[in-house]
Formats: sequence, structure tokens, C-alpha cells
Amino acid sequence: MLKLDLYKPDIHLIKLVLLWFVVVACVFLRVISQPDRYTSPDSYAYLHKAEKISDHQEG
Amino acid sequence: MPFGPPGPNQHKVASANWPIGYSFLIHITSRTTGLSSLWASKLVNVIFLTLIFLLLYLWYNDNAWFVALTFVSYSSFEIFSHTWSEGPFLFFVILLAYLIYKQYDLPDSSRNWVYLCSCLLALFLLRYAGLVFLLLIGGLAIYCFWKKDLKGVKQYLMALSVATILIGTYLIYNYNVSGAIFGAHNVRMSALGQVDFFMTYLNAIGFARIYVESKDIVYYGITAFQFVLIVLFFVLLYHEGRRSLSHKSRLLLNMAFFYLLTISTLKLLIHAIDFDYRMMAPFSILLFLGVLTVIQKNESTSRINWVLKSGFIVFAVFSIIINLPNRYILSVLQNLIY
Repeated sequence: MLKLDLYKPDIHLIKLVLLWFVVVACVFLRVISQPDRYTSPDSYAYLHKAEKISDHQEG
Repeated sequence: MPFGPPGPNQHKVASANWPIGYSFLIHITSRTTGLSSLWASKLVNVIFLTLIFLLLYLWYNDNAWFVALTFVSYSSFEIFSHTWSEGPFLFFVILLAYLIYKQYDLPDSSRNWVYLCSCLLALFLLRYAGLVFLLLIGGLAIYCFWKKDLKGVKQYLMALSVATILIGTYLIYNYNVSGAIFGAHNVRMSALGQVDFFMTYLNAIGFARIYVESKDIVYYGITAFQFVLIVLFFVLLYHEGRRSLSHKSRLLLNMAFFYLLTISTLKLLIHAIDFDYRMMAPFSILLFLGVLTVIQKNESTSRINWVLKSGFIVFAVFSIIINLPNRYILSVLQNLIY
């Protein structure tokens, strides 16, 4: 079960949260540093499909 | 309706090349947050990365942070940076492993088959490759029958039957709408070329870096480091024998090699699938999770285990450093200073 107690910070949970921040920060930095790479044709296919769903719903 | 990538008459032709799941998630996120589709896709990836971390905390408690070091691998950074459906797919792969593990723990729970079935559906709706996990559940039903675990047989067969009916319905609908069950008419030619299986496997087990990139000193250094860790891991297995492999680690490693075997067989039979580190990501992530589960013990039973655990933490820090866009960070820092 999840154990969240603000008065007794769990060092292992803090490590996990810090790691999460590191991974998300790395992903964010990679995306903004190489926008061309991370909107590749494969990506475009998914985005195109998502936009088509929007068009379909609005239509 | 599943629409496909841009092409001639794209506004009229619906295609089944990709299942609807990931695009639908992007659409919903874009609608609710007002973000563009591109940034909504990145947010979807971060949401699923967060869900993976929460699931690991639920499953591993205090050792979750160590096992979560899996996500500082090159494959993980690439998958969560691109707009690729593998991110959410990986969450459901790990969730499926968790549910199968729980089936051993709580075999009497009558709802297990509902969770398993929902997970199978989610896997299929995110990637057609998710279909291979139907075989896994079928195999588990046969295994439970062999072990005379009739409750297990019932749970797995119920999940498998309902998931098969619903997935079959989706595929028939796909065929009626687009004329192709899996959109096979639009296979990319790159996927049909010769495949270097050895290189793909090497890239799949390479933690910190893809092995087709430039061969510089960092490449040789990181390869040597990983090689030392692999040797230490096998020494640990040799010393501790069967007791080093817990139920959890066996399940994760078995699932990893099951995926490797089925995807490699599919590639040999069908050809029409990409076969690279991206397709192999479920194998890589399950393999890394399985290995880290073996060495994550709280109280180290041996000195080798302690060395391996410490060594891996240092290796993970190296992985983060070399996978950061260092030139970009330096240029931003230079702009800030001058």
C-alpha cells in the first residue's frame, strides 16, 4: 500500500520522487534541444491521427 | 474511427496502421489542457512515466527508487521523448506483470480476470504488438492447468476469452472501415529490408547508449563498464544460486524473454514490422527491471551484491550524464553567463 506521512518523510520515497524529476527533466531537455528529432515522421502519424479525431468530432 | 498517416486522399481514407489508443489519449489531453497535439503527446508520456513510478512504489515499496533506475536507460529516454506509443504501452506491460504476480498472491480474488482483460485491451489499443500478450495469458492458463490450479485457469481463460472477443470486434470493424485488418497496405519499405538481428539485440541490452552511434571513447568506456556489471551479475547468480531469483524477478525475466521470442518469430514470419530498439523496448525494460529486482535486496547477502548495487548506481549516473543534451545545456549556460 502507498504510505504517505508528511511528518515522517520516507527517504526511499524522496529518492523515487527525485529520480522522477531527473528523468522528466532529461526528457524535457532532450525535446527542447532537438525539436526536429522528436517530431519525426512516426510522431507525425500519431499527431495527425489525434488531430483527425478532433476534426471528426467537430465535424 | 481509426485514421492513418497523411497520404493521398487522406481526408477520405481511414487506415488501420496504428490502433486508436495513443492518438485518442493525445486528443483527450489536448482537449482538456488546451495544449497543441505535440505538447499534449509529451504530457501523455510524462503522465504514464509518473504512473509507472507509482506502480513501482506500490510493488517494491522502499526499493522502488533502485528498480526505477531502469528509466535512466537510453531506450527509456528516447521513448518518453518521442511521440511514440511505447511509453503508455510500457506502463501496461509492467501492470500486466504486476497483475500476474498478484494472481499468485491473491488467487481467490474474483476480479483479477477483469483487471487482466482490461490490461490486455489497453495493450492492444496502444500497439498491435500487444496481441502477443494474449499468447502469454493463454500459456499461463495451460501452465495453471498443468499445475492443477483451476482457479488460475478460470481467471486466465475468462480474461483471454473476453479480450479476444472485444479485440476481434475491433479488428473486424477496422477491416470494414479501412479494408485492412492491420493496415498492411501501408507498410514502410524500411521495415521490409534486411534486419541485423545481432545489432538489434545488442542495442536492446545496451543500457546507456545505442550501439550504432559514433564509436568514441565514451562508447568504449560505457560498454566496458556495462560488461563488468554483467560479469558481476553472473558471478552473483553463480554464488547465490536459485535463491537469488525471487518470484518477482523470475516473472519479469520470463516475460522479457517471452516478448523477445515472439517478436523475433513475428519478424521472421511477417517481415512487416520494424525491428529496432524501439520495438524491443518492452524486452529491454522488463529485462532491466528483472535484473535490478535480483540485486535490489535491502540487506545485502553478499559483498558481490553490494558491489553490484553500488556499481549500478554509478553506472546509472553516467547514463544520465551522457544522455543529456550536453551541448545545448552548455550553450544555454554560456548565454546566461555572458
